[in-house]
Amino acid sequence: MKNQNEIESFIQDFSRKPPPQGLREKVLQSAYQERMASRVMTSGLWILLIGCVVLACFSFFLDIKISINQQKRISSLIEMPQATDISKEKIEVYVIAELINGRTDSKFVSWMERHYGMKKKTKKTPLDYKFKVLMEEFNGN
Amino acid sequence: MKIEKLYDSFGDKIYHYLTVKLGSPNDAEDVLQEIFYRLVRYSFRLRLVRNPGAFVFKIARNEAYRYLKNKTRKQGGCQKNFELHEVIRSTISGPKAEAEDMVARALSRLPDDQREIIILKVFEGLTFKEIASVCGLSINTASSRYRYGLEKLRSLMEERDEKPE
Repeated sequence: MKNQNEIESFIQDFSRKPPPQGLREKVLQSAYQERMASRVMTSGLWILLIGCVVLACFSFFLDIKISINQQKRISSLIEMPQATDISKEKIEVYVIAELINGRTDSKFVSWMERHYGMKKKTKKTPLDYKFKVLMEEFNGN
Repeated sequence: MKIEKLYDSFGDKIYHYLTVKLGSPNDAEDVLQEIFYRLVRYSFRLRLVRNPGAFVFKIARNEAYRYLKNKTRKQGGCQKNFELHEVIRSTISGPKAEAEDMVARALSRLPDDQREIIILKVFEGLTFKEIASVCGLSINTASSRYRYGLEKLRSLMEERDEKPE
C-alpha cells in the first residue's frame, strides 16, 4: 500500500460485526425499568407539589375572607357617631335628654336643642345649672 | 426522536465504538445500558438536539471515560488490556481472516486518539464535523489526526508484511 487513499479504501472494506442477539431488548428494557422507578418518584413529588400549591392558595383565600369579615365587623363597630364630629353642646343635649326622659327621639332632641340654644345665646351657664332648669320646666315648676 | 428509533439508528454503532474504546464487550454492554438509561431519563432534551448522532456519541464517549476512571480507581491503578487486538478482531469482519487479524493488530497499536478517530470515521460513518464535536476538537485537528492515524496504520501493516514468517 503506497498511500493513504489505498489504506483508507482497504479498511473501508471491513465492516462491523453485528452485536450479540437480544442486546437491543436488554438495553431498552433496563432503561425503561429505570425510568419507571424514577417516574414513581417524580409523580410522588408532583402530588406533593400540587398539594402544597392547593394548600397555599386555600390559606391565602381563607385569610382574605377572614380579613374582609373582620374589616366589616370593625367598621360596623366604629360606624357610631364620632365624638369629634358632634359639638360639645349636642352631646350635652343628648345626655340631658336621656337623663330627663329616657328617650332620644328626634322631635324631643330638636326641642331640647332649640331650648338649649336659646339659653346658650343669652348666657353661659354650667351644665348642672342647665339640668336643674330643664328639670324644673318639665316638672312644671 | 423516540428511544427505540435512536437505538435502531445508533445502538449498534455505539456498542462497537464502546467495545473498541473500552477493550471489553461486557464493559461496552454495561456502558451502553447506562447511556440509554440516561437518554430515557432526559428524553425531553433530545427534542432540542440538532444532531442526535453526534450527541449520542458524545454521551457515549463521556460515559466511557467515566466508566474507565471508576474502574481504574476500583482496581487501584492503570490496567492495560493486552488483548485489544483480539477484541477489535471480534468486532470487525473483512474479506479474509488474515486481513482481519492484520488490521486488528495495527489498530490496537495505534495511539488512542488516532484509533478513536479512525473507528468513528471508517466504521461508524461519522463526518469530520461530527467527530470534532464528539471529541471536542476542531475539524482541522480531527482531520489531521485521521490522516496521521492512517499513515501510522499503513506503516504498521507494512512493518508486519515485511516481518519474516
